[in-house]
Amino acid sequence: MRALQHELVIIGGGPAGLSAALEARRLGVRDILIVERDRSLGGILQQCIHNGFGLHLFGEELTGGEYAQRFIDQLENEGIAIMTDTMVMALESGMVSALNCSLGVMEIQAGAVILAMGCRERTRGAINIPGTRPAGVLTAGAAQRLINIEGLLPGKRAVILGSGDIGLIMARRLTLEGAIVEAVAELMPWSNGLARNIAQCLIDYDIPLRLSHTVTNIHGSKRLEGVTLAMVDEKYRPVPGSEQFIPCDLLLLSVGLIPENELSRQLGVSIDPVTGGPVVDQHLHTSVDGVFACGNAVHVHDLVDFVTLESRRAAAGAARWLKCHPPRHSVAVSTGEKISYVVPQFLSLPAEGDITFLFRVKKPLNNARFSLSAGGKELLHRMRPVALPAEMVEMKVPADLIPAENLLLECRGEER
Amino acid sequence: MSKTMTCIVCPMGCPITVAQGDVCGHRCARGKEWALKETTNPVRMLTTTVALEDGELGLLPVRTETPVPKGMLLDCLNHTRSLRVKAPVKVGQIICSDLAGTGVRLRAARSIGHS
Repeated sequence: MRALQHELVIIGGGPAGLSAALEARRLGVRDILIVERDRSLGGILQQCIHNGFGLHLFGEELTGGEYAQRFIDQLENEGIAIMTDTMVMALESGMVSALNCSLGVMEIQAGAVILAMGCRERTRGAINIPGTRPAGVLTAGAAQRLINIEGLLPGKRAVILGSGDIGLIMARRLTLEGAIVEAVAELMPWSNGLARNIAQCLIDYDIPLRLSHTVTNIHGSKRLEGVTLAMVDEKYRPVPGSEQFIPCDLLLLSVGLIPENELSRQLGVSIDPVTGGPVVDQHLHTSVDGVFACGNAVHVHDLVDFVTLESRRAAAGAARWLKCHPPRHSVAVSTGEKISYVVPQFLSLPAEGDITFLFRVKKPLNNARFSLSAGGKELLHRMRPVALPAEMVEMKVPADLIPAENLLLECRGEER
Repeated sequence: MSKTMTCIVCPMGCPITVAQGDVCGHRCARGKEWALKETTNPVRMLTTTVALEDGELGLLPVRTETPVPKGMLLDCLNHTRSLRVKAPVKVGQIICSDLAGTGVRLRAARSIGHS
């Protein structure tokens, strides 16, 4: 067992971890270690070979890998230590236990830790699709990894459940690799994927989008033979008589992402039940001193540009923490009923500069008016012609507007 | 005769209608340009993977530098299947200087070292 020591340990070498590492270095942190479980850096971006990343940060539409490469290339010159093929097994206050095949078991003492583990996909078991358990039922991201990294095609005739962007992108990818996509089924009466992806992934390839539909049965013993698709009513219950059997050997599930927080839970970090990620302040400081978090591990993002910006804030928080431990007087940030969650969930005062609030509305709204108040008095408001649950809202608030009281973030608007 | 389509130039995805050469619904100049092109000569960016030899990884993600004619997407894809690249590869490296006769270049979309 090896005993190691690093000032800042970052768990995860995807866009969150990479952005945090570079920013921490820029802010003067000398000794940084990135621990990554995969064999190479880039995280989920490695398998996102499609373009559309980096529009805000770089003004270009890069592929996922190109975006990651921008950061990886900068890392080389910065003397940041990297361990790949290394799994963090446990987290205690000030100590990271990790292991890999060359160094064995390591106990790494850390001045500060940044959690950047990303997220995992919701599985069939979590949504309880009835039927048998044959091979051929995969999450969309798992199929993406198999096709784009491992070079394996997991099926020839597919049905995709879930019309979020991952499902849409995989509909196109499968088609380009010679599989037939019979349909993309979507439980809701609308897709929360980008309209542009409906166009370039489904319409371009004549793939039917079946809204208000779900998979009610899975058939096949060793290998998937088909699924039953049924229409659902306004309460999402299958409509009897609407069932249709669709032969296929591959069912892809694109039914939600869940922040990865096994380590955080083990450490005893407070978790927000709505996001599934740590409760954090404006510095992305969790409830455990010296432990910060950023990226999809905190809340699932739509834009990797926002992940980078958030991760830079976490790095700044960690860099400051390594120099001094200011007392943490907190005020809570709660949400009104039209908002599903907000990050940060609390503020550490006194606050400086601008506070960036990131949040989502529960339902699509027209003429949305967002209002931040304290003690019944409005501090600031912002308007948007359209607000969708699928598009995270960013609201920057000057710290000097914020009193030492609990805050409330609310929203008014007409449901679309 | 008019055609309404979703613009794919940026994530906004504006619904744009083109009727007898008149364009409406776009929120920027790139959208207007795209809509007109879409009705005369639609093009698409192609992103895929090609086989990589001697690399730390077995596949190299690639992208076209500029969009290719939509009707030639499958020809371009077939051309990529015949390509073999040797590691090491740097992001941006030109993998193919003319994809399926379109004149469009194919670039490496990440760097991969020698195994």
